Amino acid sequence: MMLPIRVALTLAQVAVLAGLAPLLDNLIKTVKARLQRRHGPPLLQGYRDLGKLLIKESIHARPTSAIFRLAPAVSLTTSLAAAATFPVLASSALAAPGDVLTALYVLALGRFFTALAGLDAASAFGGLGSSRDVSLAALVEPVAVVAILVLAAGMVTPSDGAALAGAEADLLAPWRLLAAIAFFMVILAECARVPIDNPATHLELTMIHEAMLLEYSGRELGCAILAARIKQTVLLAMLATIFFPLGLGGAATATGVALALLALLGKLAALAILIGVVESVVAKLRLFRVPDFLGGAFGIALLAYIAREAL
Amino acid sequence: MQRALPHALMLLVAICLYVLSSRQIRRAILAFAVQSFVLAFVSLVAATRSEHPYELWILAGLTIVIKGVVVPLALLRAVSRLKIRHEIEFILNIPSSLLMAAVATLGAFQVAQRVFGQEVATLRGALGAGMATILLGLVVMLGRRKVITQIVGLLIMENGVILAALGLTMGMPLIVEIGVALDVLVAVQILALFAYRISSDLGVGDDAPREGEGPP
Repeated sequence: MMLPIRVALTLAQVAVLAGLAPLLDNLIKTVKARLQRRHGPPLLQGYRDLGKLLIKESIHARPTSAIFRLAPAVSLTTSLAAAATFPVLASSALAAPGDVLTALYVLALGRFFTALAGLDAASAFGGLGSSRDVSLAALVEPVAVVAILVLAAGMVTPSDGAALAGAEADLLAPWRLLAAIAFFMVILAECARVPIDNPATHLELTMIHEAMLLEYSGRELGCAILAARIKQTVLLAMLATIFFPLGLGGAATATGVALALLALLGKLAALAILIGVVESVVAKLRLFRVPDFLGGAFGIALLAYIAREAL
Repeated sequence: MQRALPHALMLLVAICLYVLSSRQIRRAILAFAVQSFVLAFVSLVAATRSEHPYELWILAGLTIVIKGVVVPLALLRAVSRLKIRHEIEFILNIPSSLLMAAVATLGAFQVAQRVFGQEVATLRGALGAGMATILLGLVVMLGRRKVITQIVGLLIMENGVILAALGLTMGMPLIVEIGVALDVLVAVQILALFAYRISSDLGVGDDAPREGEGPP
């Protein structure tokens, strides 16, 4: 395919994922509110909140260094870069190098800087959040990698377009379902969702992600929140298109892209509703029980490997 | 029904993992009941490929009635009679028992494929899943302290034996299956009674060594 089309496709994909991010988070909030018989925020509230934060000035605590000011920009950049590494709108090659595994490790760079920023302000909460977040990352990584490798067996790269397009035959094979379940548990842990962390509060001793952002204000807080939202959308889009490449067109024709966009919107909405239901039904785990949860996820990912090899 | 066979086999192993990672005795017992129903489904799938489908239908019925309903109810009653309120006590913690389970499952499928790979073509993967279930039931028995959860582990191993027999020879002779089912029924009643007597006589329901007991 011609380079300009690939560049345009990549940029369009990043724009779609970044633009959807606040809406998707808002949708999860609405689902949770409806399940509690409340109305919930209006659908565009996420954009208004971010807009308000982005025009406010940032205030820094005295002991902070340049890393503290740099970290929100780094995590926003890594989230946007991760959005460009795997095919979402058309399965043909993108302009950006890399694949799903690259996306995971690019996101890990953003997490590293967020953790550093949490330590930088020298507040007790920030350090607590950073240490928890980093130990969580060490537990999440093997599960995510095994789930993706199970999927990638027999492909050139995990997001090889041609192999994805041919995957529709065994869309409900047991190994695919098991790998998707393991990856969904990874997403819950990565995006600070309920069994691991509570996204609805920043006044708890058990918080992980919010604890690192406590010292931020104004524009920088807006950047950090937007980065987290985009990361969540990127991971959900990964689950929607790499694990279930239904509707992902082969060539970058106008109808193919439109169809892929519709399929993506439908799958993302379904996943958001699923997360909302899970958050309403499941109780938050105690911090020391988190290894049990992720150990179970690892067991499921390994079972996916066995199912692919032996059945 | 044929196409759901791999899903059912994976579900059988996944239920073992759930039992390994659950902390409440009642949930482990309910998971065992669900596992028995899935096992009955697998034997129905086997019946569609067998020359003697009636035996496998009877096996499915026996599995549902005895191991899906009667035994779990008896165990639940034993739990409420024992007044076990607290969570399962572990000898191995959950992550390390899950790790053991992962190694055991990989090994079981490897052995099943290496040793019997060519001969077993009728129910693909059932032998491996059966051996994995046997080993995981063993891990459940090893890792828990309460007698009731050890009974659940034993029953899971028994499910694994039936599944492995299905995978290897399309099930054992009917008379053996009926004998095994009755044995399980009686054994569970006796074990539950034992657990009750142990706890009422000694005031405890586990197998940890007491003070002044054990090897000198």
